[in-house]
Amino acid sequence: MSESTSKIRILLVEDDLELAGLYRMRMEAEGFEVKHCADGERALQAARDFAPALILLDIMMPRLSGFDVLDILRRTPETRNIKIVVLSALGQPSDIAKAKSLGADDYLVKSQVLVTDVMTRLHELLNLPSVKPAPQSE
Amino acid sequence: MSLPSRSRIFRKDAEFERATRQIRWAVIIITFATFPLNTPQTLIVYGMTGLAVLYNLSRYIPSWVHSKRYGSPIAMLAIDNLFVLSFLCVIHTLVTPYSALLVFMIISSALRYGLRGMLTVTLAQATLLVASMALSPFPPIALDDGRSVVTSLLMLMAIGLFVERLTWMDRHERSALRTLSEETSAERERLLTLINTLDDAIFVLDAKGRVQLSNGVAQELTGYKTPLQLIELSAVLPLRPRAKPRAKPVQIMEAGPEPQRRRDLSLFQTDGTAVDLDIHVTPVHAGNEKDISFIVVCRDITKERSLERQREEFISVASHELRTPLTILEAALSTALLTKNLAPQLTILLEQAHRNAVFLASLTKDLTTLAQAQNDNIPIALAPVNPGALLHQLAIDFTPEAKLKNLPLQVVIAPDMPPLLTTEHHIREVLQNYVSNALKYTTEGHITLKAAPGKNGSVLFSVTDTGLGISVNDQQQLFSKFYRAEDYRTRQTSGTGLGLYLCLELALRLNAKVWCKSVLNEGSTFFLEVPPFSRLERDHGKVTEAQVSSLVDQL
Repeated sequence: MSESTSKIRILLVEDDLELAGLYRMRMEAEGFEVKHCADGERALQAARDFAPALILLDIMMPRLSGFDVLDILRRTPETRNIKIVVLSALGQPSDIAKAKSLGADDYLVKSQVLVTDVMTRLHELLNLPSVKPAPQSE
Repeated sequence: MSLPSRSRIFRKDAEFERATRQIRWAVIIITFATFPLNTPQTLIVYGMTGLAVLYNLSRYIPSWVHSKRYGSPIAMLAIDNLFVLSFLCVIHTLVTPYSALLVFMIISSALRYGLRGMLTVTLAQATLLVASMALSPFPPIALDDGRSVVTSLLMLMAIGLFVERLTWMDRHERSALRTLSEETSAERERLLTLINTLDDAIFVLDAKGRVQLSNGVAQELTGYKTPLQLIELSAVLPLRPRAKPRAKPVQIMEAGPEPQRRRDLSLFQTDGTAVDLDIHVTPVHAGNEKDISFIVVCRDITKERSLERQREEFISVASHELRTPLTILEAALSTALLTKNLAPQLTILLEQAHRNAVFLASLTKDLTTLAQAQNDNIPIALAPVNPGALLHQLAIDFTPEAKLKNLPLQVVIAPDMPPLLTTEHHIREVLQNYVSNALKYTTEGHITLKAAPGKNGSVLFSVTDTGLGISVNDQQQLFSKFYRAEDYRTRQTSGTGLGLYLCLELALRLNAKVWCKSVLNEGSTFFLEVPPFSRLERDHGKVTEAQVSSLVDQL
């Protein structure tokens, strides 16, 4: 993806700054335009102003939880169609069911996926060819 | 024949003593009643009979009877014989009531000491009789009437011989029985000693579950001071599932006449501590069906369990703590690999590092899942599951990976699938492992995901590939921990060796079964049979009819 065409925008909502830094670096390396928010309130603001194609959303955050952010985004006409992938440390089936019922497109558990897996899901959801298959020793 | 030892079952000496006393009383009464009053010998005979009364009375005094000098049966025999002979000398003739005692002496010595005893007594009597006839101050039996004396003695001997022969078999049988009973009691002693020296608690129960026999450890375990005779085991040893200290005590006998082993039960003591037990229940049939008893062996595995728990906890914590740094490591490496114009050497090194970071991450993931599966404290969440939908979703999830390898994924779902009440993510985890293995070890052909009704309302899932196949040798160990097939070709693919072990553990948690069928170089099929409802716990989790019908409505 070259600099001249408009980049696909991704909003990264994550309060762990180290992890957020990594995701940001990775997404930018893959050619996305990334904006990062560390809490739910700012995420709502950014979802409107930045108009991303996809939001990578944490659940446990200060101020406003990811569930609330998800609920509000889905009720607001302007943000209703943004793709939302929840990436959380919560792994209980009930949490997953709740997020799905609130309208999350996918739910990934932090302890079960690697950054590469997250990126693969993003590409699938955005209908993009995958940048590079995960290296395998075959 | 040697002097018999004191037998436990029949105290022969005491019985012999009693019989002799009774005969003696009879003879004494007959003598008093029949002896003429006006003969020269009357006074002597009455005096001797009086002595006999005193002697017989003395045989009732235990200290006298048991004294070494007078108490032995031989001494008694000798005294009785001398008495009778003295009588005979005084009254001149054998044809008296007193010869009854003489006959009795011979018979009883035959009974008591066998042939040799009988011969000895008869010969002694004959000798003494003849001698006394010659020495008596009163005119004895006329010596010229010797023929009748010898005839009488021979008659007595014949009686003795007759009795001895008649009772020979009986005596032999008794001695055989005695040997047997001694052996049995020795055996019993040995067994009891063995049972008591064991470190395991042992209970022998009757058909109603009451304690018939228990060893010291068993008594210690129950905390009872008195022997546990005929108390119901469930009363002295209330066993409850380890995870449920408040639950109703479990009846370990209810499971039926099959031998069983339970490792999930504990004994909760009053101070709140629990003793974890490994319990074996073995039914023992004695003869007919009804006559059943149970042998219950309990081993204290508290320490073992606590070590097991510590180990599991360590693995769980360690793998969880490893997770974050590994995620960051993988992210950094894979991002670095995206850099344009990397030196080829650097690309190789980074890819190598990345590959191993991914491997470590999947290992910690498997370990975490395993720790969760083995943790009995996490309750199993049951929910209705639609097998068809589950399989379809799985196929969709794996389509990108399958496309990459150019392997078509086929889904076959039988009509009329029974619904399941179980834990969906456990089943998905097992099937994911199956499918990802199938993809890993198959280079051409196709992969088939199947769901069909199984036995007794269960659902049989299967994943079939056309891959490498697994040798019979490897098949047997496939589901064990850290096992990877010996086939060199599998070494070329990455794998932690935990996947199928995890499948087995998850299946156990759901009371499901996992197994595989495979032909080398033709492909493998992995099966998962899930019961219609996974029981929460072995004893209390029975799903009611109402729950099942409401589940059917929901689907």
